[in-house]
Amino acid sequence: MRAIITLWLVSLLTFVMLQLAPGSFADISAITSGATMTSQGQRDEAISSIQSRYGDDIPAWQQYLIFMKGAVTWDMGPSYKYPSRSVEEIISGAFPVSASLGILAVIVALVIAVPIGVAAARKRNGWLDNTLMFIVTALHSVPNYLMGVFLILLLVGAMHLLPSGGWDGPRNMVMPVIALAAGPTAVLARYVRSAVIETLREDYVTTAIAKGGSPVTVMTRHVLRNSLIPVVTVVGPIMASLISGTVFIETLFRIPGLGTYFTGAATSRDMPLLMGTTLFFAAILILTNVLVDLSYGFLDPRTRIERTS
Amino acid sequence: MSTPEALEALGEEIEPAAPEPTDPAAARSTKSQSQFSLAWKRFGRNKLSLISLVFIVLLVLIAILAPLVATHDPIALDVSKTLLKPGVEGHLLGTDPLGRDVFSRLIFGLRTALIVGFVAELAALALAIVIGLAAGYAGGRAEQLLMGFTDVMYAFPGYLFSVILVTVIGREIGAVILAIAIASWVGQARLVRAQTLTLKGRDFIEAARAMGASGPRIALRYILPNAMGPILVATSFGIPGAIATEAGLSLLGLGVQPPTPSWGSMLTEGIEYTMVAPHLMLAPAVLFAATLLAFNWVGDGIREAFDTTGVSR
Amino acid sequence: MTTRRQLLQAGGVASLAAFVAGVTGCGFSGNNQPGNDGSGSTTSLSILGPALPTLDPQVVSDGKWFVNRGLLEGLIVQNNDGTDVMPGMAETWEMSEDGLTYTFHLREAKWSDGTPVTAKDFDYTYKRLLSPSSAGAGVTLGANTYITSLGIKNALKFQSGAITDWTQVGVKTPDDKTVIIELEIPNQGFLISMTDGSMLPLQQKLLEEKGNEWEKPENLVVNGPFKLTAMQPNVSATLVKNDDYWDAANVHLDQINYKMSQAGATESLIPFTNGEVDVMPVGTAANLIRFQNEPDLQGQLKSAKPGSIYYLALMHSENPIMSDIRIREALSLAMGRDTVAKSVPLVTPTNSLVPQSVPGWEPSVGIAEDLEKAKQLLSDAGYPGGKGFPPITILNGGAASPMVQTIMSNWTANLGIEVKNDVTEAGVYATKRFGLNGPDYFGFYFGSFASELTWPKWVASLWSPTFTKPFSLSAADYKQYLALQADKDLKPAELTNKLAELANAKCSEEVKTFSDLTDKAVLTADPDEATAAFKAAALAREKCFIFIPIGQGSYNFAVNKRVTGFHPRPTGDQYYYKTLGVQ
Repeated sequence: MRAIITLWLVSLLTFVMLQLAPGSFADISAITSGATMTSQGQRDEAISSIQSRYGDDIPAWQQYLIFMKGAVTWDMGPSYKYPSRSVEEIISGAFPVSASLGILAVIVALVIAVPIGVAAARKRNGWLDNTLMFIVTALHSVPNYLMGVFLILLLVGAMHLLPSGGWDGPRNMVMPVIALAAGPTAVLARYVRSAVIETLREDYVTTAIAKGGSPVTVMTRHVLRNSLIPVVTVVGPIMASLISGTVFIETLFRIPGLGTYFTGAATSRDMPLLMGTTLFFAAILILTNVLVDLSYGFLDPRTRIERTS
Repeated sequence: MSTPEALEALGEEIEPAAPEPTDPAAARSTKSQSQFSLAWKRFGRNKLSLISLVFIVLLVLIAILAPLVATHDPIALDVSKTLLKPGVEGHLLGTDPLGRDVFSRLIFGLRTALIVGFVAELAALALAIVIGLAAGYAGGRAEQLLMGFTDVMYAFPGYLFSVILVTVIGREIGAVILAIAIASWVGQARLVRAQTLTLKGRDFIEAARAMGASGPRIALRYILPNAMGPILVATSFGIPGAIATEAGLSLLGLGVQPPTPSWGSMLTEGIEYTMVAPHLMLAPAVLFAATLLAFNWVGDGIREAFDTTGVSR
Repeated sequence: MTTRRQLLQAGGVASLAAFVAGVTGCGFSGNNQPGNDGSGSTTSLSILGPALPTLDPQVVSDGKWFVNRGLLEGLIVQNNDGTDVMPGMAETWEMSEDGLTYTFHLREAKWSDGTPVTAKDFDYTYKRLLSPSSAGAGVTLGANTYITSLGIKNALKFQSGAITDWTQVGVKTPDDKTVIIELEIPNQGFLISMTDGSMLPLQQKLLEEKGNEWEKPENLVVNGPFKLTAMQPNVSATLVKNDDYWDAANVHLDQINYKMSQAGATESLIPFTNGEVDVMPVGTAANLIRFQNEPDLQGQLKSAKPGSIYYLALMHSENPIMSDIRIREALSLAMGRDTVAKSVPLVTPTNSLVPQSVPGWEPSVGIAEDLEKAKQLLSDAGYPGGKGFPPITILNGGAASPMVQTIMSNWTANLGIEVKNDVTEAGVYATKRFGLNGPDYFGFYFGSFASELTWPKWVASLWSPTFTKPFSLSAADYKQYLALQADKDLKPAELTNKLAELANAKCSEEVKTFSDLTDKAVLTADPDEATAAFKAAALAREKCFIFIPIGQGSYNFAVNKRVTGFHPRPTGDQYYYKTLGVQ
């Protein structure tokens, strides 16, 4: 299906970009490890032993194929930077971490944003609407790493309520989730509000009320359901922003998630780990989009009719 | 419960939707001629948006007149005058760890931020509209291809792209803008496509087609203006988003090259010095937040102003 | 419609439930590290440090320093301030008359699985270190650079593949309790250099049986004061006192909780002021300033002897302008090191590439600043007042550096030239540093080095003649040099030879002088004469003006008042865990 092709194209693009990016793992490691005094010959020799699976003398396209085979069989070999751990081991360990943060953030965002959006839409242009939207917009204007820093200063530095980082238990999730959820909450709240306002104007809503439905029923059964389309659209981008957001947040709170491994791999040109994490992220995003697309069919019959015609 | 009371219960001032014009010609004229003047009037009624717009215009003016507004040379450093508090020795907002005047750096940083924000978002938007509109309207093979391309770009790590671009072109502001635009157009394209899909089924589109209007014409003349609502909301997030992305890139070492002042690098440094010299973080953070807020409110106002499916209050 | 909606709802709820279930299994370690209240029977400390990609001491990563601190112990260890050596696995040792042979006598010591530590373990580990390519996950990237400062007989040849017979290498183990190391030339700094992590022993049985998995806590076998009981990669590690350690009676801590910070994270003192950690490294200017200003923090900053040198190094460029030594000298003489050092706390200016704490150092080893002379030199070179001088670039990787910014400002003020700063990402930095840049891109790159404080190390090993020579090559010659390196058909031994040939033939006169003086110093047997010879060589290197010293700094640590026995040293491992205790 299209998803598979997309995934494959992403892997190709990533690999090509990696080859184009200046600097090799050897050179970068040499500098960061202070081993710049080694001669080039020694360096290459050492690197070929790291790349024993991918080999310095194997042409790039072949390395790609070897990796892809490994990716499909879930056996991608050791990472360059973490030679005692295999890529799939790293990913399986780090993914639940990032996923739990991301999912919690989305849940928190939904739980807060939907009621806010609806409340604001109902009393639009009233003081409640303006206040809520003010708060929401203010939240959105602060980048998530800044929010993370504030949270640490407040809840750890001043109030000593939470540990400053690490990953020992649920307490470590509180601040990262708040920081991650702020942006999506704002975005969702606005979309919900705007969608609800649009829907409330539609004829069928008036009809429903005229037919004698109670406001609550009308709201939930008709309004919310049809407002969900633009909201569902935005779930995709939110997922994407969460993924990129986790990078900063994980670094700040010392969380062993996929985001940190990805950035580390990109910075050090760790090919197997970079390819592995990129493909994994891509798979998540693509899956999200597929689900979103499918849900259109459920939510908006009109698009379904369009498709079949 | 009677109908008016029920309506009241649902919310104030919801008036029945104006009947959709079934005559495309009339539809077009309502939308293009008086649309903008009507919109402007509506915008003006929203005080918050108006104030924000004035604020932004002010910021733009300051940015253009930066050399006149700034009190010092933003890159002149003086190691004997580091970390001065605001108000000391003629430094309105104090000095940074190298003795540079924070206020002046903020002003020049504003310039960078606005340029990046506007240009990056414009580029992203243009790309998003072209692809999203074409995909949504054309359907079939074209849509598959375009959306496929979008999906690939979507799932592709932005960091890597930024590294390549910034490397190849150098840490010039152009490369940074390009990197940001490439990172943000995809989400907006999907939104445009979604809107297009929804609007495609409406009556007046059918009517236009019946009258013999061609595909692109319909797309541009009828669908796009009606899709402007969510698109504008996206834009109002896009500009501040671009500014925030540049700050994020600075955090990773890929933003605008020092010693050119940028809010991103000022923020990063400020975070480091929070306990020693809080003004270093507060100044850019506050201005940053205020700018983003202003853009968001203007966006809100624009969206409400363009709301043609019903007369809003 | 209702059905579909109900389906949707059901689906949504189901997936939500699934996610929540997934959330509860979100990879927590269940690793309940006890708090550091010190109450009860366990005395423990918490330490914040860099993340550990691998624990292999033969791979240069933070893991190498980590294991050297408290998990593994080598033949000898450093004393508290890093000026001398003390017994480790070796109880006694002798040096031969000619200074070429060191004989170490091992004590009765055990690995943490009860088996004795034997000379065979050392032999096995050193062979692994020097083998051209290691089997399994072991990678010797960089750790064997220390071989040059040790001078072990035939070590380099074996490593480059020129010899394949291990018995020819100067590592001999006649019996289980004796390790003999033979050198090619006498080395004053040999003993101190032996305390480096790359010379640590690994248990042969462990590596042979466990392969890639030897680092895991359930497998790892150590001979140091602590053993590893838990490891959450990139998050934390737990160390517990090793009762099998030969000197366990002198270890005063039961447990160490090591918490890891990510690379790229902004350094924050909050874990320290919060009481979450007792020891953490402090590097940023902002945090160092806090220790100077805040009364609560005063007295809690501990620093090692300055052992790091910040420097500028010449970049290779097609533009020949920098080959004029007068220009390079002018830039060094007009740097304004006093103000540059002020831009970062606890950095002092220096005119020498050798740290001032190296015994025997004196100011004559460096070249003092002289603004007037600098201006004159620049004028002689054809750019009076800086007129007509094209913009010069300073390259650094990572974040913008206050030192670099100040240097730029000083050069503009003092010499009237335009300076650009190129702050790049790591990969780009690597390319520009090693590659040949175009005619518009010339100047210096910024870096720093830290190492043990001996003359052989700082003159013959760091910025050695071999390393320096390529920097003085003309653009055309350097192109050839790079082409040789890129030639995949050349074997490493051949490659090294060819490169040396080219470098020796085409390097500048000043560098040749430096090289000759260094060779002489290395061969000098008498310690005092050797020091004098090294000093002469060091001065010759300064006169090349290829590497320009800026300032020197040290490792700084925030140490909670309740911690005792904290002794920081200038080498990369920084301090030992063995001496730590809690009041």
